[in-house]
This record gives sequence, structure tokens and C-alpha cells, in this order.
Amino acid sequence: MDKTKQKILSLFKEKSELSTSEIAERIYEEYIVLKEKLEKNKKDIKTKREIARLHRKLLHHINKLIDYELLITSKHGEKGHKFFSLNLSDGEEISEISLKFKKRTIISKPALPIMPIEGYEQQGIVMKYEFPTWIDRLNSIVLLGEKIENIKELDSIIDKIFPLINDCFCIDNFNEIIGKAKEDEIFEFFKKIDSECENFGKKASFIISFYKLKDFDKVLGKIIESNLKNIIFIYDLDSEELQENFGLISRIIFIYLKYNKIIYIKNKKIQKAPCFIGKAGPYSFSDKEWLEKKEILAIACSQSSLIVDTEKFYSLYELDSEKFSQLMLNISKAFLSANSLQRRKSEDYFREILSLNHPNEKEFLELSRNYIRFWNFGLSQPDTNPEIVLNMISEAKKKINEFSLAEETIYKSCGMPTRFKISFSCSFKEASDKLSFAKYKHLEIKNLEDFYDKKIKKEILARESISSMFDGGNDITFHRTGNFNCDDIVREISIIMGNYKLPFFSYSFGSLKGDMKITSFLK
Amino acid sequence: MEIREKTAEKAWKKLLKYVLENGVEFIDRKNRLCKETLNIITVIENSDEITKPLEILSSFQKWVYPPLEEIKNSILGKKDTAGYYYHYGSRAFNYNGINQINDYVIPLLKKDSTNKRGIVVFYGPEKDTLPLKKETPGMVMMNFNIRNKKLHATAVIRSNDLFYGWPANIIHTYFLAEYIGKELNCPIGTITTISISAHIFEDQFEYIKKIIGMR
Repeated sequence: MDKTKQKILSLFKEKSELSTSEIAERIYEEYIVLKEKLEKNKKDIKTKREIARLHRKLLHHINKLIDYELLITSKHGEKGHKFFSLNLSDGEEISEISLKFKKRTIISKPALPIMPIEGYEQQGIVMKYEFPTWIDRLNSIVLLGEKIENIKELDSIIDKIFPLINDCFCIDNFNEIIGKAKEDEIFEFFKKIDSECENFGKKASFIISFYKLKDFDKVLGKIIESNLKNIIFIYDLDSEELQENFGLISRIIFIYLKYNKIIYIKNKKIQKAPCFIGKAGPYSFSDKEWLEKKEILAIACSQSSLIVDTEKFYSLYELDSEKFSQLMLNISKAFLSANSLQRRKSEDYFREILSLNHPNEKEFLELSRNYIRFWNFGLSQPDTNPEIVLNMISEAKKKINEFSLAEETIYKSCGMPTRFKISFSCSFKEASDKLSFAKYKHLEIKNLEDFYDKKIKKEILARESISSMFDGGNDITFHRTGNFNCDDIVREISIIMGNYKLPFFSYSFGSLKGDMKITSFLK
Repeated sequence: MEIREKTAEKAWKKLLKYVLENGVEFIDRKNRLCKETLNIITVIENSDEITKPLEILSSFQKWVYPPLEEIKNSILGKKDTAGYYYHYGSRAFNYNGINQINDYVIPLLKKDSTNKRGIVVFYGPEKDTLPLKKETPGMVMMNFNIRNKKLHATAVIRSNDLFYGWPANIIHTYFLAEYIGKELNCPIGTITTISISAHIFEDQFEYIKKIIGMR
């Protein structure tokens, strides 16, 4: 951008509206001299012509700035005098004028209105997940692998979505992309993504189904060995695929065993829509809505999240179902305000990603929900009755659903039809450093027979109930101890898939002590 | 049926009372019991307290009514917004690239204040006349007429929830009239709604009775 245009723009930092003459006085030194000269002799045609020439010169620059959408004509004054101002929307301010003629703007965050959860926040019961970006970023976004040509394209899309999320992103059907890339290319891609996730405090999930998947264990070994801890693979399969791909799955499990890493499994028979995880906890979609979605590339999964430390709630209000429902209702009202602000600014906040779905930009937010994440909710706490907990959560969920539906009706009646949905899910410890001490009891599996043990079956079924209530996704981790080999794990996964309605679960081998009997597998 | 009142509040109460007492009951496609009257014209003579029905609705704890700023933005905001299934503002100011307000209604009325063609259409057959379309605009069009040196605005609403929707519809009409009026240097006259299906729902009856009884 030439100096004159930059100088013109910088004048608007001092005053929001300027006339052509005011701008000319500040841009051309000779302009004031000429004006004074004309004041003394109003019939001086030569001076008049000189002033008119400067006006024309100035208007050339101003018109260019109008073309670049940096300035607008704000009003017409007397004698045809024009006034100009910066072409900014509410809440925008110019922070820097780019040399590439682009306007760099900071979208100032609208002030959060008063919310009926502030008292609970002060008590440490409720926490906004990633408070500084609670409104202007989404928690999570899913990209559809089958819509992406190759790793290079995926990489450039991820660059675009990084600034828009405050927790994680997920690539569904990543197996579609792996097949088109070389091993080294894939490895370098993951190294880059992991490093960026580390720098910006985010997680990346890659959902892999076994369709067209060959020798994934080779590149997986390198990735897991490199300890790319922000990269999570989720294996999407059903019992039949488990049998069909027994060899490859065993080899994959071996890698996780070797490096004591958690393996995540999604049961596609129970849930077609993606399930994935971020720092805050698991994410998912409504299966029914997922199957009806339009063919777009990027889909918002979660808009805003609130963490509820139920342990702190119990300590202050005990298991008071009415109080709990009231808290949930207040949280819903807070989400409603937050969504209202976010919607009004969505074109500014999410412009980059909306363009990816052209011409179906509107579909981007069509499946998204807000998340209430429960921490220490007491299902496995020795001093809490799980029945009461389940009832309390279930009652609250009913009231929240009624409220959400009523609000959607109101907005629709007002000619502003919008989506307002709230999901329940669990929270991970990493969601906030202010959470109470974890009272969670691990679900431990020592051998295959444990799955037929009444006590363990009951524990799994209780978790199954929670999973059905946590419509936003739930992660059940089986902590495997004792002696076993990879084939045992595949069989156990098959039992879980065949006997329990768990859409998403994981296997942890963290407490292994060397006796893994995997040597037979090394052959 | 025509209702004519000095203020928005009085008009709203009269409208609600009329449909509550005279509306014909029917079950809608969502299985809700409604009371409906077809073709009601409601004229608000003075728009000074146009937000009063909104204030009344906002005073109930049971629900959260959209804030005035959001309603204003939904009619004056020029950008289509991903968060809404449709957006009146973008349809008024940028309907397939046509600015119906600045490039049509305002110049038209500036040139000829008696012109009867000052219309803005929100409903687009190419976008909305699709059997599987989820949401289509309830407010089909608005009309702006200058009479007796005042700008009179009329909104035609095909499906009008009188309890939740009408208070927002009159605000939409008012804000657009105010925008156009400023450009024309013309004060706002009457705000009129033509509600083709004017209805209320069973779960609103209790609150409607409360509102009608309010002084």
C-alpha cells in the first residue's frame, strides 16, 4: 500500500469521521498554504484550480480505499462535501494495515452479559472451559476425511481451523487419506500437527476405520514411538471387522502395549457418528442428526462448555435433586446468552471455516451443541449412592431438554430460527486445574473371565447407563492388568462390543509390569 | 378482523384476548393444540413504546426471550448468519445481491413519496418453496407508505405465533421503518401487522390470561 493511502487511514485513528478538506489539510502540506491564500483573495482562480487538483488527487486515493472496502462515505455535507469513515462493523477496530491491502482487524469480544451461574462459579462448582475464548472460539470441529483430497490439503485446512477452536479437532475417516500418502509424508504430517497442538494447547483425533487400511501398523509404530502425545487415533469398527482384520488389529494393539499407551475404540454398530476426545473430555454427535447431515467438509461439534464439579456441589448442597436441576437450568440460560452473542458474530469469528463449506455455509453449525461436563459425579465413589446420582442427572437432563426445545420454539416464532442444544458428558481432569481431587474408581480387568464376573458386569452396566445419559459422549476406560497377550485383548474387545452398549471405550495398559507375554507376537 | 390501538401493549393484549376467546381449535403437525383466527389486521398508532410486549415477555422466569439487540440485528444485520436457518436482514439488504432497502425502497420513496411500490420481500420461492425445507420466513414481506408526511409500515406474516412471535415481529417492522425513515427524513407513523394464521398454543394460555389481566 502506498504511503499516501496508509497516511490517510492512520488519520482515522484520531478521528472517526473526516471530510475531504480535513484529510487534504493533513496529507498535503501545501493545501493549508493554498487555503490561506484563497482566504485572502477569493477570486484567485489559479489557487482555486490548485486546490481542486489536490482534491482530485486525494479523491483518487480515497476512492481506491473505498474499493478495498477500507473506507466508506459516511455522509454528504453542505455544498457536496463528502465525509468518510472506516468501513468497520460493530466491535471491530483496526490494529494494523497490511501491506497487502488487507485490513487486519481485531474483533473485540462483546462483553459477557450477567449470567445466572456466577454464584456457582465463585463457589468453584461451575467453570467455563477456556474462559478467555468461551465465546469467540468453538470447542471442537470435525473434518470429513472423504472430502479431502490428500495430506497436503488436510494440512492447509487444519491451519485454517486452528485459530477457531479452543480444545480439539477430529478427522473422520482418516483412512481415506492415509491410502493416498507415503509413509514418510504421513509421519512428517503428524509430527507437525503434534508440535502445533503442543504450542497451542490442543488435541487432534483421527478416526480410522479398517476399510482400505493396509499396513497402518508400520507408520503407527513410528508415531507412537515418537511420543506424539497430542495425536489420538480412534479405531472405528464392529465385531465383524474385528474378526476380519484380526491380524492387523493385533499388531496395532501390540504397539500400544509396547509403549503403554491407551487405545481408543469406537463401536460403529452402536454409533455411526464420530466420537473423539479433547482436553476437556469426549465429544460426539447425535447419530440421527449425523445421518441426516448434508455433504459438507467441516462440521462444528461443540460451541461452549461448562464444567460442573459435582463433588463440590454435593459438599455444599448434598444430593438435592431440585437444587441440581435449578443449577442445570441456570447453566442452560448462560449457554443461551453465550450462543446469542456467538451467533451475531459468527460471520466474523468463523469466516475462514464457513468458506470451506461453500455453498452450504449455514450447515456448519447445524449439528453443534453446548456441553455440560461432569467431574467427580459420584458413580464410582464409595460414599455416594449411584442410583440417586443417575436419577438426579436424568431428571436434570429432562428439564434441560424441555428448556432447549422451548427456546428453539421462541426463537423460531421470533423469525430467528436457530439451534439450541445442550449435551451431557464427562470431564477430564485436564479440563481445569481447579477441579476437586479425583475420586474415580478404575475399572480394572485382570483376565478374560472378569467379563463374566457378576460384580464387574454390574460395574460395566452402570457405566453403560451413564453412557446412554451422556449424549455428548462418554469414555469408559478398561484398565488391563495381569498377564495377557495381544490376541487376548482383541477377544476382550470383541466381548465388550458384543455384550455392552458402549459406543466409545478405551483400553489402558498403563499399569503393566513387564509380564506381557507378547514375545510370541514378535514372530 | 381489525384491531386498532394507540400502543403496542394495548394492541397485543386485545389481539391475544380475541384469539383466546374466538380462535378455532386445531392440532398442528407437531401435535400441539392451537387456537387460530385467520387474517387479523393489527394497527399500532403510536410506536413510542413498541418494546413493551417484549419487556413483558422478558419478565417471566420460565423462559429467556431473545434480547432486543439480537432482534434488531436480525432485521438490520446485512450479513447472512450461519447460526440462523434464515435471516431477515440479509434477505432485506442482500437478497441474491439485491439491496431491497438502500437501492430500491429508499430511492423510490425519495423520488415519489406517494409511491405504493415500497415493498421488501423476505420470502423467496426459489429458496423457500421446497417441500423438505426446514424453516422458511414467517414474515413474507413488508410495505412502506408515506402518508400525511409519516412513514407507515405494514408487515405480512403468513404464520404468526401471537404470544412469542408478534412482539418480535413489530420490533422488526419498527426498526426497518426507523432505518428507512431516517434516510427519508420522515417520522414513523403506524405499525401494522397482517397475520394470516394468527395463533396461540395451549401451553401459552395460562400466561396469556396473566398478561391480559395485567394493568
